Amino acid sequence: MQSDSKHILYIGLGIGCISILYYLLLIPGLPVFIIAPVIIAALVFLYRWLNKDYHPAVQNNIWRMAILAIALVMIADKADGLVDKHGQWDAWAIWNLHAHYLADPVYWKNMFRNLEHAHPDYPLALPATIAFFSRLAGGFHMLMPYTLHVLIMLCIPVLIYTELYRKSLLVASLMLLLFINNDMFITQGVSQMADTMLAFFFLAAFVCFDYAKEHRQMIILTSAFLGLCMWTKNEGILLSLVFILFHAKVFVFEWKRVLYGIALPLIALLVFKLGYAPANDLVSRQSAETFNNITDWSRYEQIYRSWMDTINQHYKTLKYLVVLYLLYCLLRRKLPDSRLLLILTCLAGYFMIYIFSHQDLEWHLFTSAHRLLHQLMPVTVYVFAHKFAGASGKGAFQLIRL
Amino acid sequence: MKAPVLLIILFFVVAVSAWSYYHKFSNVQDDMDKLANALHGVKDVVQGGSAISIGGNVDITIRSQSRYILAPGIVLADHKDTSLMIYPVQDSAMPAGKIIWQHTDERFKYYITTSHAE
Repeated sequence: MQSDSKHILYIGLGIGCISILYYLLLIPGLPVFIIAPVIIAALVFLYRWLNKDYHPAVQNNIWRMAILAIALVMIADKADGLVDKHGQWDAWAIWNLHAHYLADPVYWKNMFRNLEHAHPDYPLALPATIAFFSRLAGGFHMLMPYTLHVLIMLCIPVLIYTELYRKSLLVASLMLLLFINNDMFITQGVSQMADTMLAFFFLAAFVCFDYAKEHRQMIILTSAFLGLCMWTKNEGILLSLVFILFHAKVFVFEWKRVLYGIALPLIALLVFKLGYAPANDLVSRQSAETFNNITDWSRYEQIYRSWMDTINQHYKTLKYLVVLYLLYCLLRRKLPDSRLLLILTCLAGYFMIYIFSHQDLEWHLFTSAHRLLHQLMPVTVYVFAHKFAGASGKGAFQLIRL
Repeated sequence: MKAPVLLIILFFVVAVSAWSYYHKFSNVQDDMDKLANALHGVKDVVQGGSAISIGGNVDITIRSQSRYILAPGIVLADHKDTSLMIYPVQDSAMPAGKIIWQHTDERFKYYITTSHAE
């Protein structure tokens, strides 16, 4: 793996590490002057472990750097026009609200009293990170969540770029163009909700797993990022389970490495879910009535129409890529890339959540469908860009070099 | 590309973006800020109900124009002794009382009113 990719992965691991340790040390009520050194020591250890076989990267063409810089500036410039001061409604009413609570070392458990609309069962990767920095700074400031979200949003195209530019600079650049032109990606990126963080962790798991055959240590990183998906959003549990099921053989065979990676986020999640969080409403309100939804065909049609509207509005290019690729596979009578099948299975899982939802379906789709698709957009881009660039550097676009 | 150069580019763009965001919004008081100010001093939250008191003497009600009622989460300076969620009424009618705060986003319209018309 490129050393620059490792640095981007380190940012993700660092955020996860901060949120987990802060939360676990908040429970016994430790003061911030103890929590901060523990977290800094963990970050230093993590950095050294990640770069223990680090070799300085070969000096590269300045064009690669310039293309990336221009792309990031363009994304940031668009973000500046699309951002709301306090993010979208859920950022105000859920994520940043939780961060406010978690920044209080004494009364943070009051968060769990807001059962009606604040969703205190949502995992804490995002709010705990903001809470830690709030404690360090002596109070919450609107710059904290915004800066964190911009960083996470930009890490997504940067990670894909660093994975691709050596294989094909053209494909890597086209990928950047796709992100620049996707207003939904940027809007959600600065919405101050946890969907972009989940998308980043899920993408990181894909990237790490692509190296697992050559470097078994990458299994640890893959597992860690899957654990962080779970620690970020409830949907992350579904995504991680689908990923693990798809690669069950590897995960069982390498169970020790899997355990090393996933243990810490899983412990934090279990402590949170079993010790503090109320039951998730989508799970606890399941009944015979919601189970009967499975034969209600109008729901399938409604969900399909809503998804297609969202896809046609925001992800048209990706839709055509997926359809053409699947047709190509059908004509060539070969199985599609397993990574794409994994993403489609995740989509099917999301689809079934809507089928069984006790919520007003129209409302549920209206408020969440675009966010669920946003969570899977970066991995889909990565899989296609990786295929076009050629996994071994011999892709069709490899011929064009700068 | 050396990794530190990549990180310098990334963090430079993030810093400039944060600076731009701060200058854009630091002096802007939007609906959310007004709400927080309007509710500053909330002491009592009626669990599951609609009424809270501001400063102990004004009853207010939260209503939503649409049937999709969402509750705003409010964080106040003196939140340490109470749960801070303000619950919406199960009523989508337009408010009868004096509107003390309203917010419109791309989807919904939210109101906080006094309980009775003045």
